[in-house]
Amino acid sequence: MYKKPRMIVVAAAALLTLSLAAQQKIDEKRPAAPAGLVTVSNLSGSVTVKGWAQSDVAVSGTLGKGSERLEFEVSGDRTTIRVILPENARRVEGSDLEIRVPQASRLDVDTVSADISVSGLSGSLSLQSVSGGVSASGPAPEVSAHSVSGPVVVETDSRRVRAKSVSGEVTVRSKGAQEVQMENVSGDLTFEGALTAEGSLEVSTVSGRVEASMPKDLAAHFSLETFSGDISSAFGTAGKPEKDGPVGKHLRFNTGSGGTRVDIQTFSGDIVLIGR
Amino acid sequence: MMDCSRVEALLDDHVDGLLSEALAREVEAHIGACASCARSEAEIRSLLRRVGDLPRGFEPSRDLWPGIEEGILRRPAGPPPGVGAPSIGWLAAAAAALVILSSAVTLWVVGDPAPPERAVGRPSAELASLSASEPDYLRARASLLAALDDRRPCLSPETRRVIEENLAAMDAALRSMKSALEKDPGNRGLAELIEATYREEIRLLLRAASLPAHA
Repeated sequence: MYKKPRMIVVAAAALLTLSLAAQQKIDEKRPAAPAGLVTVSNLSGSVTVKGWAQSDVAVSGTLGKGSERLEFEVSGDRTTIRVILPENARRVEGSDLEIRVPQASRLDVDTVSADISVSGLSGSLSLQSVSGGVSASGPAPEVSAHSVSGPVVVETDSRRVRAKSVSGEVTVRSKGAQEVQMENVSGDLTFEGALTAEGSLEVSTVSGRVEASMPKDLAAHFSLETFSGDISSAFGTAGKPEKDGPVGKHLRFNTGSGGTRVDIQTFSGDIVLIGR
Repeated sequence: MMDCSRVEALLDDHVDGLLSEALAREVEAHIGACASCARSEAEIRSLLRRVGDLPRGFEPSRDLWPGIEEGILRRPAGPPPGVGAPSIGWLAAAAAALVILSSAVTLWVVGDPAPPERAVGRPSAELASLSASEPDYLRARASLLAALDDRRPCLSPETRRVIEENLAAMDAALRSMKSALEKDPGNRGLAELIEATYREEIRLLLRAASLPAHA
């Protein structure tokens, strides 16, 4: 009888030891190409990538309990960072990766539930997650960011931005993009900032509310269309939205010389244009 | 170099010319060294050319589906369901289905450069085209859902929940929009939104079916 509690204590201690041993700290560095491609794959936890002035790629953080190992390889101008899980893993904890890469690196990150955060890179970014949030900031010239249900936030000086989700909120803050595409099915979409003189903003959602905040003196051609939402514009449309079907509203107008193109489509979401 | 599963996931965007220059170069480099992915790309481009060669107002459900279906059903021997990634051949066929659907619906919706006259209550080209495309979409969707069922046991409950909730949300949105399009059959914008939602649903299914074990 007396042996049972002691066995439980011993077993618990052994499990605790194994558990602690399974939590691996990571701190590795490899020389890499200054403008190479870095690909990162991590199912859960987080991925934070920052650009730095060194020519190394460095990975630190924690490898989640149950993970097999971290694959960290440099081959030519390509660096691969991947959390490898055992084939028959049952319970695997998330891994938190903090990665530093040469500033001009191009980056491709793929996660399932891990949040992605990227900053300070001047190479193009391709970021996708299933349920994790995706955020990017910095001087990357091209950004493609997608999450199924997580929020997507892009605050870059990019020339071209594609920010998409299914049910997550999508936010783009731009200092002067050439081309911005924003899409989701539900969840709010917010654009703040400026576009180039010949630039374009295309926003499409089913039920999300679209709010676009742009300079008051923007010279643009606007096309705003909603089936059952409302349209509110601070850009001096003067006229009422035209109804070119039995239901729905379509508002088209120009401001100034109309060089920039702003196309917004919703099914039931409201469209709000704000002049700053 | 990218691995095959990553390239497969990017192929439809690559063929559409939507990838960044850097990613496109990576995909090209892989295709140049991988016969299997090169074949997948050639199949997609070939199917796309067939769509492009069709006259306006075509009915692809009769002409294109057999090829797509054959590709989807021709699942080469690979890891058993629930282990590792789904087969490349299957994903290529599914990606081809996506390209076909996307291109076909887009062709219908934007194929005519002049906007059609809007006439209240009159059945429009948009509505007719979407009705014609629906069987293709539903077949592709059913095949992808079957693939997702294969993968379901090895996905985490949280991932399954996210995928199922988002699929349900898109289905509800599609029902609402299709009902609205019946009331306003000439609404080109609505037809475009429906097409975009169809495309996003197929993309989500493709992504879900290609998720690795433990995801």
